Amino acid sequence: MILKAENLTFAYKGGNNVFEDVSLTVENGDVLAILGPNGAGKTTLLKSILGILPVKSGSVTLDNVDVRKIPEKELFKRISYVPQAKNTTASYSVLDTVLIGLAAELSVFKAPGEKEIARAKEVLDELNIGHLIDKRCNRISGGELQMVLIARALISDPEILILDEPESNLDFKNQLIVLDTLTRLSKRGIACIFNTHYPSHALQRANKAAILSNHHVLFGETEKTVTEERIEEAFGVKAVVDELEFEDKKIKSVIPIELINR
Amino acid sequence: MTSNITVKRRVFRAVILIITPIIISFLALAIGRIEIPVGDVFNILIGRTEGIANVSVMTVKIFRLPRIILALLVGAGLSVAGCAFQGLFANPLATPDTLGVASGASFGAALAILLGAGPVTIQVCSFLMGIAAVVLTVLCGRTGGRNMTMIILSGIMIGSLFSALISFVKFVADSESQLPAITYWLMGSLASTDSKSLLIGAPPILIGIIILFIIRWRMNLLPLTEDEIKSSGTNVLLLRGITVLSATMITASAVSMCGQVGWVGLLVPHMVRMRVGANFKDVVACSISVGAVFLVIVDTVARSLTAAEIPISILTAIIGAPFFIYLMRRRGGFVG
Repeated sequence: MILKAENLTFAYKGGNNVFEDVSLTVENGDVLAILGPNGAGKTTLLKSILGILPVKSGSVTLDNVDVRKIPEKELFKRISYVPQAKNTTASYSVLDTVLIGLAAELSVFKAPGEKEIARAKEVLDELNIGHLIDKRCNRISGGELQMVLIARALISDPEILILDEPESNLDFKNQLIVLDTLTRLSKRGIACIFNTHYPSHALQRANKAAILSNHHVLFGETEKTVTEERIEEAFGVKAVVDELEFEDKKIKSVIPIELINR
Repeated sequence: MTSNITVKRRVFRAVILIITPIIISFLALAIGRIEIPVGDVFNILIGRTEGIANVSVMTVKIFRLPRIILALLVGAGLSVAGCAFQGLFANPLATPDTLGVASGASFGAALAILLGAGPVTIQVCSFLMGIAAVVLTVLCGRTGGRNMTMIILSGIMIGSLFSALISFVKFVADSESQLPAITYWLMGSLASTDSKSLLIGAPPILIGIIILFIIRWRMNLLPLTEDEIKSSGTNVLLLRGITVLSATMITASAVSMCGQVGWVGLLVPHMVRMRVGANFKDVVACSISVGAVFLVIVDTVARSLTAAEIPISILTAIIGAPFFIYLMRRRGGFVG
């Protein structure tokens, strides 16, 4: 599988370009982090890649086929979207929420049956949240809800997972749970594209990164992309990229030092 | 749907949901100012009328049967339409009238009464005006088909516009004959039903219910964000369009036959949600049955309690409100 965005330019009706000439490529097992300050257009870029926002120019192809030419039902079986946990209406039970992820697969007249429920249980167990199955989504924590939404995306067995700030609004532990999940999924061959506010998360988890700044994107291997200079340019923050060694692990981290007046 | 509900329990529930409206309707046929033994009702229904007083046969066949069928249809229909609108707007306070359909249909009827039209014209005029109100609402609130808040606001505006028009019709109506007729009609009653009005009014309700019943699992997508609906491979506009169209057909036709029967569309879906959870697959199925039973009971009370029949909208609220509050307090809050 290869997902390619080429020269994407997006503008809201009657407005200036949000971003121009964005190109990036994602293959099986890749984790791509999209970084950028608030309002830079990260979510807009994600939705453009997903094809739910129409771009002004450029194209997105999946295995060399324009995604606009792939029937939606087929496309969204291969690509799954995980919205921010706070943006979703949540009074369904966890099981019902996860089953909604099968909407692209089931015909209009069909509802999920025993087979689909078994599959939902499997996915929930895989993500270690099997115990939540009968809980209502508005009675669980933000971190748990984010995991439930990932389960909803995974039930259709997608090749690509697109996540909108999956770890923002989560506490320390839940951030780790979500990020570990992304790492695990990528090892299974699923490509993950996620927006993040944290350069450290990009360095620690993503093999590819895209930094949005001044309407343009810099895309490439994370280590070459998320550098001190780029962070300063995009965020206006002087930062140090450091590497910690813990047991046999090397962990990269970005430490903000001071604001740069520009 | 929860995982530990066994297939057995589901079948049991389905049987109860189907049988209860039948039993209640059967009893309702026997109850009224003229009491008819249940055995006689059964014989009349299967066509064995020898030995049964003619009055009883007439009462069951001509008066009560069409009226009970109407109550079943309107109760089930308004409840399902309420479910649909509450899902569509992700708002537990939405009712079948949120888009102005009931106000439009009421205006249609009031106007027809003012112009001295017959019952069939009143019904057709009311139905068409209800549909027209929703079309107007959707046209005014459409902003590239994305913003549901605009549609709700537009619905409130169109609703109040038609309410004002109703007041205007009342103002110019003849205060001796037309004004009472309009006022009584607006309070809602199932009394004027006959098989002819049922023949015109039942199909839109039935079709609406069947469509919403078929897509009931997919209705779970309705309260989600537009991005979530799209990324589930579902055509947002089509899903919302089918839902609005079905619910509007049901409501317009219900109002055109028996005036504004308030409360049912709000009350029944909430009662059901407290019991079975928020999954539309269960909520729609249960609302059909519970709504039908609820309205048959209320209408039977309305026509049996006093000599002068109490308008049904008054009773739905008098019976409904305390019952709803009781349920809400007992179950510790509603399920949104």
